Amino acid sequence: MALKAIWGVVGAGLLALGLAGPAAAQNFEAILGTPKPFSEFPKPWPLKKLVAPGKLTVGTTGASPPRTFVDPATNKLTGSYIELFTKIATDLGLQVEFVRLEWAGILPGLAANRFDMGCDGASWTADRLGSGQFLMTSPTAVNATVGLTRKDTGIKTFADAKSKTLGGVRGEIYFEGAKKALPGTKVTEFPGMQESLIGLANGQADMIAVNLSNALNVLETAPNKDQLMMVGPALEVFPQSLCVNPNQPELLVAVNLLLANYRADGSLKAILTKYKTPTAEVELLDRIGY
Amino acid sequence: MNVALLAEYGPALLEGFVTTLLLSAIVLAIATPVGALLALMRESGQPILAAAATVYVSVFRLVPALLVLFFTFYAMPQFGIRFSPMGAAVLGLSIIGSAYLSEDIRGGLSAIDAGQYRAAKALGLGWGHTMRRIILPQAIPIILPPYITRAIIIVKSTSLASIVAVADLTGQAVRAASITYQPFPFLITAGLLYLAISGLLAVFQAWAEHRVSHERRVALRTRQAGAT
Repeated sequence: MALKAIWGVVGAGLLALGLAGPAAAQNFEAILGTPKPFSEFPKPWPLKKLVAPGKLTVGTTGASPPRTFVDPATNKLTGSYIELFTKIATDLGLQVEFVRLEWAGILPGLAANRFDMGCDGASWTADRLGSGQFLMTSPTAVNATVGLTRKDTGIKTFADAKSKTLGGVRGEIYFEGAKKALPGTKVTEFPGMQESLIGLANGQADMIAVNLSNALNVLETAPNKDQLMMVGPALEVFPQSLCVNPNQPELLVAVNLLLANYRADGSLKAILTKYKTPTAEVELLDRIGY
Repeated sequence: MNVALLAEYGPALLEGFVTTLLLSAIVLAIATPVGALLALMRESGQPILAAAATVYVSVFRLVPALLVLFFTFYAMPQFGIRFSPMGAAVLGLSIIGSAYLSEDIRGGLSAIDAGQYRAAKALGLGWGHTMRRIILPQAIPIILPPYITRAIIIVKSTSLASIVAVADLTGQAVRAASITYQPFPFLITAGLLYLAISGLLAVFQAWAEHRVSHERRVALRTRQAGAT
């Protein structure tokens, strides 16, 4: 009898908890109302270690459309990441100043305290995340390794490229990943994206390994776009982010907060997809936990 | 300095170092005789030969080496002529190197007193004989310092080959820096290796200059002893 009573109490308790869970959650949501991005951050944010007081100095190549490029019509620096950096600066109460230079100089420039920020969407790797030369923000987009080939090569998948010449930008992780995935394939390393595309057109490479964002841009804008096609499915998928001066952890905190707000209010997607970039680049961040 | 990273990319850097050595050696082996030929053409007194050499030297001294390399690798395939990355680099750097070397060699030839040419002619020596037996033995000690300096410049200019897809020392250092986003260890290592090659050439220059001046002193003493 006593045992029956005990089981009765336990059962009632469990039932009550089961019913109380959803009800409590509903109450919580009802009390919260529509969640809003956190806006009670310092304005202006006290950033004491900026390279130039009152300015957000950003290193950019201006040579990676649609993220950063010089608009031929206006001869002005533009692109989705140029707009993102500008918005970050504005929201931090700073003026933005872009310094154009080769990619090879951007990270040393961050480490040498010449810029506050850089990287127009740098893919994450273990080496990069662990680097003491710069800090990486929370992700801004998802990118992936795909191939670009001429339609006359007969390459339809990465496996078809094994007996062909694989090209890519020297040191880019997309190219390095493709080299590992296709061991024994003849390789030609180009110094930059434009040279890779010339090499592909010349037949010096039969397929080039690039990131999905660049591939889509090439297929949209290249003069020989009708002769090119994309090769998939993607070999690897990466989160991408911005880089911050390693001496400025407080700037990293500020930028991460703003990026989270931009995700929540939709402005990140609006900015990054303004230049014909697919919305999936930002939307798929959910699928990898961000 | 991240030693683990250097160890990881060490084999690639070493491969790049060997490629740089090989490229430098091939370019010098081609550019030196071509440069000497151009200098001799300009000093030959033959108007057509001298004019052709002058045009070549002037054009390729005035055009940036990077442009020549881009042309040989990226533009020539559009005319149906395709070189491997190494072939394009050798061609481009040899063209530029020979133009500069010819001026260094011509400078040495011009430094020989005109009386030497007249004396050889008076003795009935032909142009080739005069060059081989009279002029070049005197010109080589004069040519040597600028030649080695130019050789050092050519070794350093091989770093441009990375632009035409050659995996040389610079190319491998840039590749490692791009993958890891840590440029300092790789660029410093590449710089030290370039310094090693250039340093060896500078040591060779000092040794060769010492040797040449020693031989000249010995020859002078022998002549003085013969005169007394």
